Amino acid sequence: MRTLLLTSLFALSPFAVAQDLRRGLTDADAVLVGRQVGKQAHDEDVALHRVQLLLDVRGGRGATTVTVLDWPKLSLHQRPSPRQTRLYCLADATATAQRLGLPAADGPYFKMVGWAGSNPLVGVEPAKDPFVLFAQMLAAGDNGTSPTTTAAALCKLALGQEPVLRLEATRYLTERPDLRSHLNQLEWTQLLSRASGEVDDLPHKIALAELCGEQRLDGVFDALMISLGQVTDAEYARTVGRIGKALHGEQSSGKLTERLRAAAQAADREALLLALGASNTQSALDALLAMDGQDAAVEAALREHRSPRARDAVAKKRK
Amino acid sequence: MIGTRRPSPERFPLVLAAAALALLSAAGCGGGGGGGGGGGLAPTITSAAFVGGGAPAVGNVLLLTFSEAIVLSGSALTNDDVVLSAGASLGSVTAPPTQPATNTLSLLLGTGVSFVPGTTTIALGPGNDVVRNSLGRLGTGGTPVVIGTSDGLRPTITNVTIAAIDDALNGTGPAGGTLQLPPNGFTIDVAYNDNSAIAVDSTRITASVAVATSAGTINAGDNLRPFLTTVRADNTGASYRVPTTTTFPNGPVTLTALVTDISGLGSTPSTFAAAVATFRNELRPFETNANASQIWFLDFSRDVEQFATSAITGGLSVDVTQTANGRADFVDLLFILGLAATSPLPNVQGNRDSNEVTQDLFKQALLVRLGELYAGCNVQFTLTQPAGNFGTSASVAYSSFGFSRIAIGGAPSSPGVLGVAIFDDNNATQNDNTRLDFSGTRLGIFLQTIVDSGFGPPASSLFRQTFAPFTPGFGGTPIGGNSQDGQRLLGTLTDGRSDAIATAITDLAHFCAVVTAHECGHSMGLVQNGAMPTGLYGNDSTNFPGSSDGHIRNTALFPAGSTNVMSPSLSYTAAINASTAFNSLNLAYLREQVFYGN
Repeated sequence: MRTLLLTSLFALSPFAVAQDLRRGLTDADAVLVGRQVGKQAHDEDVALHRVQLLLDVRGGRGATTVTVLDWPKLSLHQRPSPRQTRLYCLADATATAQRLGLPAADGPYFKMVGWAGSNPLVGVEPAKDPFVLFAQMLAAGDNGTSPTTTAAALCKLALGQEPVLRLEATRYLTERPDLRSHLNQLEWTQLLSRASGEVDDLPHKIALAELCGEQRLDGVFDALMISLGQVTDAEYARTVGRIGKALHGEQSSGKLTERLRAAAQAADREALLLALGASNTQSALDALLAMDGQDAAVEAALREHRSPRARDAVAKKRK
Repeated sequence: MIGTRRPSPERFPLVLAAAALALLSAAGCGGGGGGGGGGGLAPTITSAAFVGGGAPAVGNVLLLTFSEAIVLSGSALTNDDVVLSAGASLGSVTAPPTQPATNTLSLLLGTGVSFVPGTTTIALGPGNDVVRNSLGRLGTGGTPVVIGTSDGLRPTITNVTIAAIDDALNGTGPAGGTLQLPPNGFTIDVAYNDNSAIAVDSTRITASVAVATSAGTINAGDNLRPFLTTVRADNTGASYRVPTTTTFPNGPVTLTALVTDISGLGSTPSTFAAAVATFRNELRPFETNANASQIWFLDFSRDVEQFATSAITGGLSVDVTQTANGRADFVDLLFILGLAATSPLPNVQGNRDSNEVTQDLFKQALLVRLGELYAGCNVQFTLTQPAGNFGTSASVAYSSFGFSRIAIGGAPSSPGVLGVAIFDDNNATQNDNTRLDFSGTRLGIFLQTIVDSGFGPPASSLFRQTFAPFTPGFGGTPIGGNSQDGQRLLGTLTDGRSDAIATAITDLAHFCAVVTAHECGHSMGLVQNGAMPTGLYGNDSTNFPGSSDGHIRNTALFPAGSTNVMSPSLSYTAAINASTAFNSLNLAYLREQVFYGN
């Protein structure tokens, strides 16, 4: 049996790492640092992993060892790894254990959550491991730490050097308007600057763009458009197009076409056209339909629009 | 897809050794006829090109390309060594030929040269004592070839593979392995380039082993192409299918391709090593004795819960109540999304209301996309329950009846999961992925995961922008909530809302199709761990970063924004990308052109 997990809805590039640790941390009933120390079969369908607790981030119920249910016939890619110390995001499996007739004395029983990236390896000093610190930060944020403190820590992480955690922190801020409302002007300036200037880590750039777009910062759409062409990644262009629509609706196409008129480089033009198509507005469609359909960049933009009329236009021009 | 890296012979010492033994063995038997070559036990001329303009003159060059690597004696190649068509002569050649490539010689024409490029033919003659192969055998005979006029550049073979499998997955990449082939049914794919055009009828495909054909046994080294079905052959590449009338023997095989351009210049041979094994029914995913094809029943009827939205900061949460409500969970989610209305427009299409028409359109788009993803595979998807009953079993013997099934429903039993299915090595059984309690795990496709996740921030996400205009929780008007939506659904009214409706229905269907294709793929044997022939490179996170048990991520093989269907995780945007597909090896397995296990 195999599972298919959902990664972020929002950021994707050929370099993107499936990464939803924050969702695992927030969805889990227990977040623990543990080491798998044993495994035994319950029956042909179920195996029981004994995981020794090294650090209880939250929900460990004071246990020193927990049992994690596994299905050996399944290829769940979130599965306890023998003898490795990892961060575990666990869902309560007490009811399943009872149905299977497992002894209460071997509890508490858990199973692993499905979010991708939610079972990272942890270093030899768990208390200093950045993933554990991130987990503790989120747990503390839900347990009394002031939102200003948590938001500032997340912002620092989002602007930091660790690729996975800066992506996680950025996306977490996007998903938590209550926290990001505590960021100050300087922090927002830094985040927008990074969103506009980042050229290497494109998933991070996209996540930052979405964060700034979600906050509706003044001038954010213009700032993000500047990178179009400098960054040729299609996913970034799509993101900018969607942010434009979210912020300016039908008027976003006017801003994009205005910039298009001034685009000197072919890469700039292609990226702006792609963003125009991805904005998926009627005005964008009208603008694209009025352009030269034999132009490959226009055709690509029409494909990006995805509407039946755009598809028809591409099909007709192909004939 | 044809890659660009040629295989490295050093990667297959055992295979090559076996191939050499096969050649020696065949030589010992004395060879035989058949095919278009000269017995396959000695080099033959495959193309000839005159280098120059006008009539050949003393000192001009003639290039001869051979069926395999050659060794020259050091003597001059003269009229005594070849057979030319009537009246032609190489002249009094005095200098021994040179060897510009392993399978090519260049000779300087002598005094009295006389032939007509484009007309005169040439082959090695019985008196040849100049050209041998690497085993020391003198070349003789072969089909005479017309001497062309060189265009100056030899064609180059850039890749040889099987079933269009990318180099990273065909055994020539860093992940290693050797493709395991059935005795026939696979394609041999060659990619090449040239400055002019390729004489596709001159392309040679040879094997290191004798191959049974409708015309009898074709010896190792003889041209197999006449016994292959040409799928495609043009100036950039060719694909030849091995028909059922042509059968490779079990064991290692090295295939060799050689192409010639229209000017008579031949390429250097390019090889590909694989292994052929008996395609036993237990290893064959869609053996046809029991069932004509693998049928998948898509079951939308699951009703174990109901859903409601609640506001969260920046979005909505889709909350689950574990109580059936007399309506399919899938349909419940359409109401949440706004792809169904509480007061649908009646009689939009016949007596079908707007909700029913929307579902029809969704299911039609789902089946079309599944058909695209499984193109060329003996797999069909149906919305109608076929005859047969799983009873209490999650899996039954493949021959029990003709279908597997999967539920398309609401929420998973673990957070973050889009689908769970039974893994079935080589598709040995029919599988019931509609089970609610497989030892504590719910099977099927879980659309609540994507809807709940998609309704969260940011508002600029593709999911939100696609569905929010219809979602009541976001203030949208559901499909069927506008009096003209019936016309929009039927395509008789075209406006911005009709575009948005079509996009929403299509995108959701395409997303669902990719998840369904993925889960059904697991239940038909994807993606077995290990390198070929043990598996399909599942769980090889060293060579395919991001892979996990039973899954493979092939970022480098797909265009930006798309993904391999059998990746361990999936984003909404990647799922609906038109370039998302099975990787070439998974597709070859599903098309029964390669297989794993023994």
